[in-house]
Amino acid sequence: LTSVLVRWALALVAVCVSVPTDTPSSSLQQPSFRSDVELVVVDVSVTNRSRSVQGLEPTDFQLLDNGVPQRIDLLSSDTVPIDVSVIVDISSSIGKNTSRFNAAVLRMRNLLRPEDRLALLTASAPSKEVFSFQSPMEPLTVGEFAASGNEVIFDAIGQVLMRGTTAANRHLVVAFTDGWDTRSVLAGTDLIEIARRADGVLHVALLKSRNSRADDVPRTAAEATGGRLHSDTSPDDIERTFAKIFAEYRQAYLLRYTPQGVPREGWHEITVRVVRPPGNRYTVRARKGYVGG
Amino acid sequence: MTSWVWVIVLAWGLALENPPKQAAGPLGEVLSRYERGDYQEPTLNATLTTDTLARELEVAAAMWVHTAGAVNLARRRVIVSTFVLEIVQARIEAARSKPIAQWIQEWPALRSLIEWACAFLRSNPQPTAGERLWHLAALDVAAHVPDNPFISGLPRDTSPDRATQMRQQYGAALDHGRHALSRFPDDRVFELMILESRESIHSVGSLIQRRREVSQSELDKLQEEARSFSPSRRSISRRSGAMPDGGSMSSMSGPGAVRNWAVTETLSTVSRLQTAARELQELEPVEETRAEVHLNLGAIALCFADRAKALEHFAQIGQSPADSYSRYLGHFLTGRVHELRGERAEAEAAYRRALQVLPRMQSATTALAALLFTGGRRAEAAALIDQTLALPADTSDPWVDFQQGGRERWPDLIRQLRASF
Repeated sequence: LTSVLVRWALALVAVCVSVPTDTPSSSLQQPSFRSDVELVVVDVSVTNRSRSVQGLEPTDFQLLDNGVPQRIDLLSSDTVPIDVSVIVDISSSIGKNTSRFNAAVLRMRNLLRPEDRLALLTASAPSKEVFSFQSPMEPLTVGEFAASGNEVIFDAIGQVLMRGTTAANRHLVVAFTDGWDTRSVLAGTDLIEIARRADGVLHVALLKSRNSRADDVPRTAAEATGGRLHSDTSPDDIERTFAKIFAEYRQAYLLRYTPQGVPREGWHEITVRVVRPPGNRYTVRARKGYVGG
Repeated sequence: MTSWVWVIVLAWGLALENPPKQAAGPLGEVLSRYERGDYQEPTLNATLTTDTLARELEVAAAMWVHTAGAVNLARRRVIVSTFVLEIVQARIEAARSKPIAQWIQEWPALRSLIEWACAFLRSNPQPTAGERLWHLAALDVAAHVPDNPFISGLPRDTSPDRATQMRQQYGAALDHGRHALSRFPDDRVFELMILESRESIHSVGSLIQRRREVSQSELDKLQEEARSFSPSRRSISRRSGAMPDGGSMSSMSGPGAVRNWAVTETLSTVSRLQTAARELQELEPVEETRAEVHLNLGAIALCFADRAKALEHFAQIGQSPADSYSRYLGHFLTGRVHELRGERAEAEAAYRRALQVLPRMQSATTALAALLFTGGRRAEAAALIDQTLALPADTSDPWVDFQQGGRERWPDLIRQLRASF
């Protein structure tokens, strides 16, 4: 398995608390490091009517890898820094809404912890990196955004997902867009294929406007990573939407497992369920799978 | 007595050499500064409304042109017309951040301004090299708006009512490309630009982007489907000429309208591209346009799922005198074809060749990175993206230009025009 997921897991595992399925999460164990096995780490968000469900134990989850149940560990997501990539669509179809991005991005960093990092990319042919990953404690220079240029949101999201994050951090990608894409090199199918293989979790906030366009591509791409589409995001609500996404991501569970009983190669479909309490109606979001080999 | 005559002649000569600045008013002074190389003037004049500017030009331009004497008439007309074109281009740039509705209201006045400058230039008895550059620049500006009727006249599917309406709207600005051709009848570059506009070849770009190819069997099915439309919905035949019998241009409302519309649009595009391909073949022997002709023919072949033919055309670009635009796109689109054929190694090589021509372009970089990433070479893909985003962004990506009116000739042409002053 060559996925960054694995490299990430191997580096991460040294600082995380390993909690086997049959052990209560409250009983802390010594950190373990296993360099000779393949590990898969999955971000799992569990919500009940839009509220994060906390306090679940490893035994409350069932994870299937290509239909085969796996023995899972639950990692403490609080100890892992988060790299946040924000993409703002400033193409001409966005129009005057770009003026709200500037202040919103500056306020977003207040939500981050000192160990987290923030990066900002503008999407309008061509994509531009306003600043690369940096601590929220460092001064940010964002500048004014002026709407101009062609719509290339697929390319921008694809670039950020492919680039990933080099550190042993979790990676959250949040894109604000009206959904229009007219000039990307990446077709919708390309973006979805990249999302299926990427390590980051993608959320797309579809800005509500006369121009906004609810395309299946951003939704499918986001869901492939374990994220989702937030339709009808008011341009006045950019910061609040980000706060909601970030809080949900921070509170997500990190499930770790070593694939057993499945061939290494090819596409591995992941299914995650919350089996306890029985009859719960929780919404569970996790990546749809990964490529092994 | 003789000495008085000489004094008068000398004074007249000096007056011609140093014309009174107030002769053409404030705009005349602006034009003089522009002539001397102050190219910020068109941007500074952004505060004047287009209508006011047009009225002032009407009065001041002719006066300013004549104050430099007969020997400078043709040259100064090029200067005035270029000044106008620079204003139009600056306003188009400024309009990119405006709501589309506002821009739609502004463009007709700018279009008329171009047409005024064109007529002003054509008042020179003989076309000059400067005038040719100007027409190329004007067509390039309009092609990137894009305003096809301005460049190439009424679309083929225009109904009589709509034609009357458009003639009123456009006035002399309808079919502006013909004015260029009337001055330079044998110029193949004008022919190519007008052809690209008239048949909307740039629409090929978005078709390729979405990876939609129309094979012959699909085309047959669409035509069969179109034949089943009720007579009231047979506007397709009028729109595209794709069906043998005629039909009325009645509305496409009612059940199935969306599907009918999609079929109509597809067949219309197919028909346009087939026409374009035929006419492009006629321009192929001309060396000056050959590379771009093959580029367009290859792109059209790709739309018709004829990948082998597309590759042949793209390969021809390398064997013709080609600029970086055509060479880059030739390699880039070759990469797309190989990807479609599942030939990943060949696709990678083609994208790398494109990046050798223009290393900073995001189109080939992103396509190559996606190819590597989905092939499991994630670190290489990430490094490529890192490298590209670290560089100052280059806004002139040929792939973007190709999809919105063709090659961006403006920067080069305006440089040449200014040098010709």
